Amino acid sequence: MCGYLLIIFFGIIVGGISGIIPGLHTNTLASILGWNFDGSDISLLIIAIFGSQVVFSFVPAIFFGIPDEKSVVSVLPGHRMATRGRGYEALLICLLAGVLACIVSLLSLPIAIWSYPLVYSISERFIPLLLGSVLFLLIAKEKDMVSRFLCLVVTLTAGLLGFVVLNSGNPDPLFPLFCGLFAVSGIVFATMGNEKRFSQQRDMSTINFDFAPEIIFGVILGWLADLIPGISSPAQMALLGGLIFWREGEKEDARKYLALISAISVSQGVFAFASLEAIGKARVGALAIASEISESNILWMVGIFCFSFAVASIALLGLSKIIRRLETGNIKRTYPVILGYLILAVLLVSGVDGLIILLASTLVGSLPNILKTSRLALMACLIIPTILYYM
Amino acid sequence: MEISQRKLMILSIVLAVLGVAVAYLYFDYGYEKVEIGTIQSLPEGRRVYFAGFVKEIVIAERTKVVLCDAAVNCINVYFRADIYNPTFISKGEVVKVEGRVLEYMGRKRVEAERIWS
Repeated sequence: MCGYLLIIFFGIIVGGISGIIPGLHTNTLASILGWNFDGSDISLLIIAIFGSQVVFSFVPAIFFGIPDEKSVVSVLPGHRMATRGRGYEALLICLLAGVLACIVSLLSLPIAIWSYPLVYSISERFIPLLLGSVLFLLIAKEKDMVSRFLCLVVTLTAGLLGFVVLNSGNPDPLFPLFCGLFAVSGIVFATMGNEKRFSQQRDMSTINFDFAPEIIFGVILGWLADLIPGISSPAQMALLGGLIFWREGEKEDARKYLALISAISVSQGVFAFASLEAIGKARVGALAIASEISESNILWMVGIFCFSFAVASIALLGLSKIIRRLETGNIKRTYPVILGYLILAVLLVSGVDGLIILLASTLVGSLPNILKTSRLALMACLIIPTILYYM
Repeated sequence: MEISQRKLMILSIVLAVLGVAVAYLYFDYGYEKVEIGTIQSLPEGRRVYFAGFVKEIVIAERTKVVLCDAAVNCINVYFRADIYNPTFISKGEVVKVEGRVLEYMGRKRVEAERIWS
């Protein structure tokens, strides 16, 4: 038993490191482990890494505005809160929402296992309609006809970019795509804009818990994310939720939106085990690899995922003193470092092709700033290729 | 309602305990609980021979089947990917299995090395 505990705690440490270092995705680590090793111990390690990585990936998303596929939408409100010294509060919201969503999802697991086979067979035909409706709502939400037209331009451009990138044959196209769309383009405009102070993060001894509905809604969306083929990314579901809960620039909505995203990310991780068991579909890459190399069923490892998530949350809370002291003075000084890191990471993860994707997606990611439309429209980079795939 | 960091930590501990409990509860999910006494008493690594009919193929392309004898005593048999042929066995077919007893997470199971009708 001690051996298994050692594996799990080692996985939590590796997951923590990979979560803090953008680009070092769980799927990448799982692929490396899956290629070189075999057996249930490695599956256990991958699941522990997966659970811990979900927790720690919120740190770069909130404090440095660098997304991965789970936290990409949280970059928008989370990083904004961090630049106003409320990053620690954003992190606590993500942790609290994640822990509560994990508990609710875990308790709902038998229902998910029972319901997936029933709903799965009829859901596939409605995917294009559902995703098309999301895009329609996103555009219709703009205030006037001109804004709607501009939002449509951004949506179609992002969709075209996503279609080309996802069919480029690059082994890891999402990292450069998201970095360009959200991080690099954001950095470019922030550099040109007014001086911003990345003030010392405000201490928060308590959190105002007013986002219970968002957590419940997030769990339902997480359940849907594992059910509907093509919506494998929590970001796509968060976009749907964002249309209901989030209006850019509003403080309270940003807090609730963060809770929603966190709940979706975590519950999708939990329900992925149920979808694998019930319909044989693993919507999470790391889970698919862990399942392939395991000598047994891995439904029981959902408990390890939650254990790993819980321990990682406690560890991150323990590190809160360091996070509270995060003070970089003028945020512009950190931009060259972040930019340099991103370029290097993209080169290492996705090669020279990745740099081209990064450049193209940076240009497309700049469009919302130039045309003054919602950056959420950039999520069409995943939604439009998914619609086309199912049509 | 205000939630302190202390409460958040307690919630995390509750989740950790719940995770361990769920891992324990789901450890044998989808498997037959009936185990043959001789399998239990065999030491790890010992080669075994078992003949019976396939009661259930749980995952078509993968490793797990439940093998039963006439008295419907069942064991879980694991086929390594390199020897497993999906067309070789089907549900309800009588097969023979030769393999090793292995201990996985403290429970004995049979890893099949050879199967034939």
